[in-house]
Amino acid sequence: MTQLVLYISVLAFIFLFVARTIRLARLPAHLRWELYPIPGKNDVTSDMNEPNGGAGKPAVGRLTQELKYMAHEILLFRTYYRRRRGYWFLVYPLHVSMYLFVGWTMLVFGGALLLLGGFNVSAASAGLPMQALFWLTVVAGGGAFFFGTISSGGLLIKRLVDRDLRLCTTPVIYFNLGFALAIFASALINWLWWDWSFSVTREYLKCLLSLRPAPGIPLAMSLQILLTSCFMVYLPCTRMLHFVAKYFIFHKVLWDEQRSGVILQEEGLRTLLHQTVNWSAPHIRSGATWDEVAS
Amino acid sequence: MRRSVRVQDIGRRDAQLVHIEPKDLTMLPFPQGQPNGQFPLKSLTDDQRQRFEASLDGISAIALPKPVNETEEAELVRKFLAGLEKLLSSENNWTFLQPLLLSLENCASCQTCSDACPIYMASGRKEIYRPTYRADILRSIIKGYLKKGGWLSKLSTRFTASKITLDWVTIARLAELSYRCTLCRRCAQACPLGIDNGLIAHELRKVFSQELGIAPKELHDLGTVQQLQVGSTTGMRPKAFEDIKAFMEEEIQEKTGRKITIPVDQKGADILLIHNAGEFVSWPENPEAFAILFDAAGLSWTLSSELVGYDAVNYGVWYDDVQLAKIALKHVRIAKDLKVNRIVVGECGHAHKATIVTADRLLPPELNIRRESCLPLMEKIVMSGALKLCRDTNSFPVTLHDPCNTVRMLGIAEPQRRILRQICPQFIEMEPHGADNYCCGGGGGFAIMSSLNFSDWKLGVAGRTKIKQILEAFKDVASPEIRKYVCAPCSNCKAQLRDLFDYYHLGERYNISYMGLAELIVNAMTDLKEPFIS
Repeated sequence: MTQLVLYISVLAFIFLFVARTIRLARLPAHLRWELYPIPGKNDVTSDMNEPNGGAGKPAVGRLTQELKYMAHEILLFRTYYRRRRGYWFLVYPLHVSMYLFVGWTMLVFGGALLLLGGFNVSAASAGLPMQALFWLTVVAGGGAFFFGTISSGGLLIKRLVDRDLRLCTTPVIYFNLGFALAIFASALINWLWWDWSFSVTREYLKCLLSLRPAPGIPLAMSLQILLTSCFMVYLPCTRMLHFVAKYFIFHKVLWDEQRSGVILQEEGLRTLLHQTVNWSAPHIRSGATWDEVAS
Repeated sequence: MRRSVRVQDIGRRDAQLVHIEPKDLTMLPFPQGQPNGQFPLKSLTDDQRQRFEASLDGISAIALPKPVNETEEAELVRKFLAGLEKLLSSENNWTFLQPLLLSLENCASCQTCSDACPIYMASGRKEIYRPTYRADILRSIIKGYLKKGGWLSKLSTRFTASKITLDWVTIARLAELSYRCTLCRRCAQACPLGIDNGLIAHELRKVFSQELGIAPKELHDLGTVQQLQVGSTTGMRPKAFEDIKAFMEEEIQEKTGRKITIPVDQKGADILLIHNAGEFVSWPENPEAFAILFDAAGLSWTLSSELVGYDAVNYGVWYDDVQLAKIALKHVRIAKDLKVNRIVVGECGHAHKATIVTADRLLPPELNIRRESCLPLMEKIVMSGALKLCRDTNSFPVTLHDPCNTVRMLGIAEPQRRILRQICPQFIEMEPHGADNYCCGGGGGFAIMSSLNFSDWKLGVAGRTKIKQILEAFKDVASPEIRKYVCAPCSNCKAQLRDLFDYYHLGERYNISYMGLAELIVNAMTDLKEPFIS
């Protein structure tokens, strides 16, 4: 039963994630709305003074600066650290625990694949790589569940006691944090009580990958799998998936100072200019095209 | 103790939502002590309160008349919702739909943006001025009134948004609230996710203007409409422009001993220079300075006497895409007709943004002429050696106000600094500066808005942080015996600074004045009859 739920939730997650990304990508080209500082664009004098006239792909130096900025944000949450330190102490470990969770998932799936290949993944495995995989999995998983539990619980409390945050927190935010807390806490309990080495998890995943019925697992683990499956379907429908949006926000809006020549070729701006304007204010000719109302 | 104002309180009818008391505002670093009480905020009269909607904070920015009956109220609500639907459609709002949806749908509600907002901080942290407050109201209205569905949808709305009563009071307050943001976008800069509450305020203004025809008269009737009809937002017609041009030529000769003919409508010139027409009316020394500089540098340039061609402003960039497009296209068509190589925008921040950035993708290839800022050009002139300059004539403390639209929207922050370091031996930076600088409080159209009691608010609250910055920059030279200048290469910023200095008595208390950049450069020229700055 839990296997079926997990299969469905993984497929649903992929579908919804891709659908959401495609929706954002298909939104029409917009007017320039960049915001400085843009990484790699120091000492801006004029677009026309840029080596490529501001059009075309960014220069190598620019790309390096963008990646550096992104690394600081993704790995260290630098902006939160600088501007909202108290909040950073909770939101950073929460996100680190998510990174560790993803890493743990990959490691435990890797371990399951190795089991399928006849390898032994345990503390007593022959060979350093298998032992390394084993211990990395334990550390990643334990770290994810521990820090995830502490930080999601901590953020929940912070939003309840901090006046400024309380005023803007809607029920869904409490729900999301509660949901995350439930997943991390249940995973932590399962790890500590039932499966510190993740051998049960690896066996379960081995059966998942080979489309065979899995052996019985403790009820607590079944509940945790159901909880995680529900979360996987829920996540793409919420703003918790803001890392996808961040790509568009920064690369397609705030850092996008591509001049119109490029946009016209790639995005069909002319088509947009021929669309009908339907605004009703007296100074606008409703029913005319953008071209016509602007002339 | 701060009173909590929640998002759903926007529709409360029992009382004015927020009261601004001078004692709540942030302290200013006056050496003599805290004179907050000396800068009161004027209240509306009873008659004004009867006629106009001001129950948000007792201030009226748009002089919004109250509807006369329930039918009118209902119609306004219907139109607002219709406008909101259009705002979220690609047919009607392709111009900003992607940035808008990204900001509406991904806010983490962490309030990192709040401390970056000069208005929120200066007000004493009044809830309604938080960058997220109006955005959260909009989100709640969209979820509660635009997304149709059965009980599940209603339940989802209660879960994910605040319950807002959508009636005339809410809409009127939202209209006013959209004019409590200078669109400076410091909030977007501070946000780890890049959520742009300044954009949300801008888009809200568009709903009111483009669907309901509601906008401050200074921006619309006396702004874009007047500019398109008579040629300039100042009301200046082509004949008056010619007269001012003649006056400027006389002044230049009187001040500098040089006879310069300001070129107008010269076909085939390299540069079409467009000033904010407010310069001609209020600060003619600025376009005079440009004429002197361009003449000394031997540039091929011209002004235009065509309607709209002598006024760089484009107020549409603050509130209305259609007006923005009309004026931007006029500017480039005039440049094309004159067969110039490029448009150079004078010292006007929002004109920089509108002409160079926002309008960029509105221009088909045949109209896509080069559009540049005057600042790198002025740097080129100063550093080229074409001018004989001596710093000693600018030997007084100068600090630089960075206009939001030049530094945050265009990234041009260094040329003006390099110039000032070259020509001003006592150049002092404000903190923070460059792209992190604070808005003067006149952004988003505020500098020219003065309906009812809005002036007191824009000076007492919106501009307060800038005053604090200026005083802190000049703290070591505060004595009124030392003449000090704030260099502000933006017409609207100068208008705001003029009014701020008057409101806070900075001229008489501390001998602080303001001017543009071009005047300072010309003042450093050694081969003039007398100093350009008197």
